[in-house]
Amino acid sequence: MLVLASQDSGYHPPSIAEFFPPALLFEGTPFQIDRIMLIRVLMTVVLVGFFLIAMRRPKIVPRGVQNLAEMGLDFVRVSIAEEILGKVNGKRFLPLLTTIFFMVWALNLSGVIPFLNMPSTAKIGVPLLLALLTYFVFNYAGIKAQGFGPYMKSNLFPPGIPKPLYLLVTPIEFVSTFLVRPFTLTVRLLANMIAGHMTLVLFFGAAWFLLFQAGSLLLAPVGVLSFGAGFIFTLFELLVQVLQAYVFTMLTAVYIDGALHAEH
Amino acid sequence: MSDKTDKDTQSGKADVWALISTLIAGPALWGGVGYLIDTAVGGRVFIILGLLIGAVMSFYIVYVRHGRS
Repeated sequence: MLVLASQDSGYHPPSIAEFFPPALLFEGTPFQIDRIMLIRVLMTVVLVGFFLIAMRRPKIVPRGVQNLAEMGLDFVRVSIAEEILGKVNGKRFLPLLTTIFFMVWALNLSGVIPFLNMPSTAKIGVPLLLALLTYFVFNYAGIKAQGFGPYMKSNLFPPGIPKPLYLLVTPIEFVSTFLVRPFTLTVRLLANMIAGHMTLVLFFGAAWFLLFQAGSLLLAPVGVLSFGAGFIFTLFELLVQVLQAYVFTMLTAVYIDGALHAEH
Repeated sequence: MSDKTDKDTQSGKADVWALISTLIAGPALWGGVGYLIDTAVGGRVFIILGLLIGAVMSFYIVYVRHGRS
C-alpha cells in the first residue's frame, strides 16, 4: 500500500489539508471566503428556508414539513430546555438553545450531503464562536441572578469542605469553569467533526482507488468492502451529528442552570 | 429554586457531562504545576504527584458538589 501511495496517480490518504481549501474570494483579507465558508452560508440559508417554509401557513394540527419542524422544536423545548432548566427558565433561554441546536446540526449535516461532503463545523470558527456565546451567556446569567461576588463564591468555593483544602480546590474550580468549559465545548464538536470527515474520506477514497485506479481484480472486493464501510460510517456520522448538536445544547443548558443556582 | 422541582431525574444525567471539565481541570492544573516544578528542580516526581493530587481533588469536588445530598 505504501508503494501504491507513493505513486503520483495513486491513493491519497486524507490529511488535515482537507480543512484548508484554497481561497475563492477576498484572498489574504480577514474576509477570505473558501469552500467551507460557502457551505456554512448555504447550510444557514437551507436552515432558515426550512423553517420559513415549515411555518409559512402554520396549522393547529401540523402536517408535513410543519410537523417535522415542530417535532424538532419540541425536542429542544421538552428534552433540553425544560428538562434541565425547568419550565420558567427553560422558556427564557429557549430561543438561544434552539438556535444553537439547529445551527450546530445543520452545519454538521453538510458532512454527509453529497457534493458538499464537509461538516462546516470542522473548522474552529463556528465551534469557538458558539462556545464563547455559551460562555458569555452562562456567566452573564449567573452574575445577573446571584451578583458578581456570590456567583464567583458559589463557583470557586464549594461549601462544606475543610478550609485548607480550598488551596487545592479553588484553582481547579477556576480552571474548570472559566477555562476548560469553553475549551472542551469547542474541541468536542470540532474534533468529532474532523474525525468523522476523515473517516468518510478514508473509506470512500480507498474504495474509489481500489475499484477504479488500482487496476487489479484482486483488490476490487476490498474496494467494495471499503465502500460498504463508508456507507455504514455515513449512517454513524448522521447519528454523531445530531448527538453533538444535542450535547452542545444540553451542556449550554446545564452551565446556565448551574450559574443560576448557588447550590447544586 | 422552586423552578427545579418540576424536573425529573434526567437532569442529573445531564450534569454528568458537565463534570468532565472538573475531571480534566484537576490533573491538568496540578499536573502542570508539578511539571513546572520538575523543570525548575529537575526530576520527574512533582508531575506525578501533581497529577495524582489533581485527580483526587477533582473527584473530591465532584463528590462535594454532586455526591452527597
